[in-house]
Amino acid sequence: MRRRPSIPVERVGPPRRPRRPTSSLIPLTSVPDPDTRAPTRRRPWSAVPAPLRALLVAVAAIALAWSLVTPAFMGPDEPAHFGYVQTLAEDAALPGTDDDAEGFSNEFRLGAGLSGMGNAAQQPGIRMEWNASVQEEWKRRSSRPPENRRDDGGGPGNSAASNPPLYYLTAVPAYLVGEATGIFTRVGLVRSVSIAWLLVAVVGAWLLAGELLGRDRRAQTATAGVVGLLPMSQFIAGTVSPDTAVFAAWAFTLWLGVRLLRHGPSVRGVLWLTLALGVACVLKAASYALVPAVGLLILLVLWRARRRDADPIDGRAVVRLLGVAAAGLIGTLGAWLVVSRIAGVSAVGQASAVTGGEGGSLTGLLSYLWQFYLPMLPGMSPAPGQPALPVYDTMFTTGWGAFAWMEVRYPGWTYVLLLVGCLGVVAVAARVAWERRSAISWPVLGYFALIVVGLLAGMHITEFNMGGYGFIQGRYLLPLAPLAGLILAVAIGRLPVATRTPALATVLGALVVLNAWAMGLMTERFYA
Amino acid sequence: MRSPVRWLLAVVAVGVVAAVLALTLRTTPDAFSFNAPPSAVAVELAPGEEACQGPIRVPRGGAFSTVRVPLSTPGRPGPRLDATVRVGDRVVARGGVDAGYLDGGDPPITLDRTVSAARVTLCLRNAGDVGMGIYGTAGAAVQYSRVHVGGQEHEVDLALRFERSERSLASAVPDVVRRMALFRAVRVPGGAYAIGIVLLVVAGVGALAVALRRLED
Repeated sequence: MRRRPSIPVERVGPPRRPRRPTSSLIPLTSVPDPDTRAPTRRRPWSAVPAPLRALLVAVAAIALAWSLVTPAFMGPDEPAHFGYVQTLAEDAALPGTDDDAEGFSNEFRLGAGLSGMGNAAQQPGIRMEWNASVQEEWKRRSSRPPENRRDDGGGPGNSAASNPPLYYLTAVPAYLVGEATGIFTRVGLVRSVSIAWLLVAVVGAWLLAGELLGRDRRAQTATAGVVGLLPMSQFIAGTVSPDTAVFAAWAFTLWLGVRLLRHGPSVRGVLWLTLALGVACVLKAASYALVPAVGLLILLVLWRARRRDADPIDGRAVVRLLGVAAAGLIGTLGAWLVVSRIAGVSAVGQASAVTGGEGGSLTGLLSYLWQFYLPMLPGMSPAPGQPALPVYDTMFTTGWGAFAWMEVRYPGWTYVLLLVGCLGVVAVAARVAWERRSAISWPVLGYFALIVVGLLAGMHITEFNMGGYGFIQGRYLLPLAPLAGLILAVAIGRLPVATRTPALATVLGALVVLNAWAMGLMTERFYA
Repeated sequence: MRSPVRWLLAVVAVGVVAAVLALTLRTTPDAFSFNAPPSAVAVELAPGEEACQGPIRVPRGGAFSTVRVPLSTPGRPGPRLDATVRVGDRVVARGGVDAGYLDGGDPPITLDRTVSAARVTLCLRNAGDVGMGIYGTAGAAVQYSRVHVGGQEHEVDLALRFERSERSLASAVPDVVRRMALFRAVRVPGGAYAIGIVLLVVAGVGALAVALRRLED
C-alpha cells in the first residue's frame, strides 16, 4: 500500500493534537499539556510570561543606562557602524561604493574632533572633551555649512563597509526620527535599536530554554538572563553595533533548530529556521559559521522523518521541504547576494579572510591552535604577538569585560574569580549531564557542537590567515551566550529546590553589579 | 535567607558598598586632559628654542599646578626645560624640569602657582645646551589650538597632561557629572544626567526583583 506523504502544516482535515516531545536535552520538568490551558484572549504583552516581561524591562533599563554612560563613538568600531547608517539614510547607498566621497561625513568629523573622540579611542591617557565652551563651539559650527554636511561620507575608509546591511537598515528609521537633531542625539537614537535587538535575543534564549528544559520559568530566566545581562552584551547594546542583532538571530537559529529536531519536519519549521539563518548571514558574515550546522540538521531531520515507522514522509515531501529551505535562504541571503552584486561590494565581507589572507602551513596552523589553548611545548615557535595563554588572556577576559575600545577592563583578579565561577558552573552542569546521560538528545548536542566548532573554526582560520594574532576578541563568542545560559540553568537545576531561585538571584545580582562596576570604570576613564 | 529578592538586594548592596569604598579610596591627580596622544615627536627644540601651545581651554574645575608631557632625548640625559603659563602676554605661572631626565619620560613640570584661567598658553623652552624633542601628535589633533616654535605655526599638538594635587574620586564627583553630560544625546544638566543613569540601574534591579518574585509565585 502506498504511503501518504505528510507535512504537518499541510494536512487536510481537523488539526491533530500536537505530539508532545518525547525527550529533551536534560528534562527538568514536565511540559504542560497545551489543551489544559485556558483559551483566553490576551493582549500580546500580557501573554508574555511575567518573569520574561520583568526581565526584558531590566535588560532594557540597564542597557539604556549603558548607552548614556558610553560616550558617543566609544564602542568598538562605532564610528564605522554609525557612518554606515548615515550613508544609508542620507545617500540611500552602501558605504565604500563612492570613491570620490570621504570615508566619513563632515558632520561626523566635526563632532568627533571637538568631542575628543577622535583622539581618545584606544588611548587610555586621553579623555573626552571636558569643556562646555567647546560643546558650544560644536553647536555653532555644526549648524552651518559645510561642517554640517551629512551626505558627503560613504567613501573608502569605513571599516564596517564589508558588513551586510540588514542591521543598518533596521537602524535607519531611528536615525531619520532624529533628522532634525544633532549628531549626538542621532547616535543615541540609533543605539536604542541595538537595545531592541538585545531584547529579541533575550526572547530567543527564553524560547530555547523552554524548548529544551521544559517550561521551567526559572531555567528560562537563567538562560535569558545570561544573554541579556552579560556585561559585554549590555555594553555592546549601548552602542551602535550590529552585534546584538547577531545575538538575536543566533538565539532564534538555535531555538528553531532544536524545535525542528524535536518536533520533526514541517514547512513552517524549515522555513523559519532558514529565514533565521539567512537573517543572521545578512547581519554579519560571521554567521556563515551556522550554515554547516543548520544544513546538516535539516538533512538529519528529513532523513529521520523518512525512515520513521509511523507516518514517514516520501521523496516528494523531502524535495518540497528542501525547496522551502532554499526559499528561506533565497529570500534573505539570496537577496543580499543580488544587491551586493549590483552594488559591486563583497557579499561575504570579513568572512573572505577565512579563505584568503597570508595563510600558512598546516603545521603552522596546528601550532597556532595549540598555543591558543595550551601552554607552548618545547620545539614550537612562539606565536607572534600572542599573550601567554590567548584562550584566557584574549578570549575569556575580553569576553567578560573589555569596554570602550577594549582599553577599559576590570582588575585582573576579577577575571580569575569569574573563571573559577564559570568552571564551577560547567563542572556541576557536566555532572548533571553525566547523571542523566540516557535522557540526553545527542542530535541536539551535536547541533550545538557544530555551531560552536563552526564559529571557533571561522575565528581561528581568519586570525591565522591574518598573521596569527590580533583578530579574535571574546565578544565574538557572545552569539553563543544562550548555550552558556543553558549550562547555568542546568547547574542551578542540580541544587536543592529551595535554593535554586536564591542561587539564580545571586547570579543575576552579580551580573548587575558587574555592569554597574564597568559603567563606573568607563566614567572614571573618560571623565575623572 | 530563602527569599530570592533578598539575595538579589544583598548582592547589589555589596556592590554599592564596594563602589562607595572605591570612590573614597581611589584618587586621581588629573586636572583635565588636552586630548593629544603622544604618537610621535611633535617638535624638536634646539638650545634656546621655545614651543608654545595655545590656546588651551581650561574647563571649569580644571585648575592645575603641574604639567606633564613625554620628552625625547635620544641617547643622552635631557637638558633643562623651562615652562611658562601665559594669559595673553602675561606670565601667570612658571616652572621647569631639571636636566637629566630620561628619553621618553614625562617628568612633572611643577608650577609655582595653581592656574585657573579659562584660556592659557603653555610655553616650553629648551634651557640646556643640547637639543631635545617633545612628544605629541603627527598632525593637528585639537581643533582650536596650535603649536608655535619661533613664531612659526606647526600643524601638531603637544601631548600635555594637566594635573593638580591628588584628590579622591568622591571629591571629583561634581566635576565628573558635569563633564559626562557634554556631547550627549540628551542635553540636560550633569546632575540630572547622572541621576537618570542611576535611576535606570535601580529600575533594572527592581525589575529583576519582580521577575524573581514571579518565579516564586
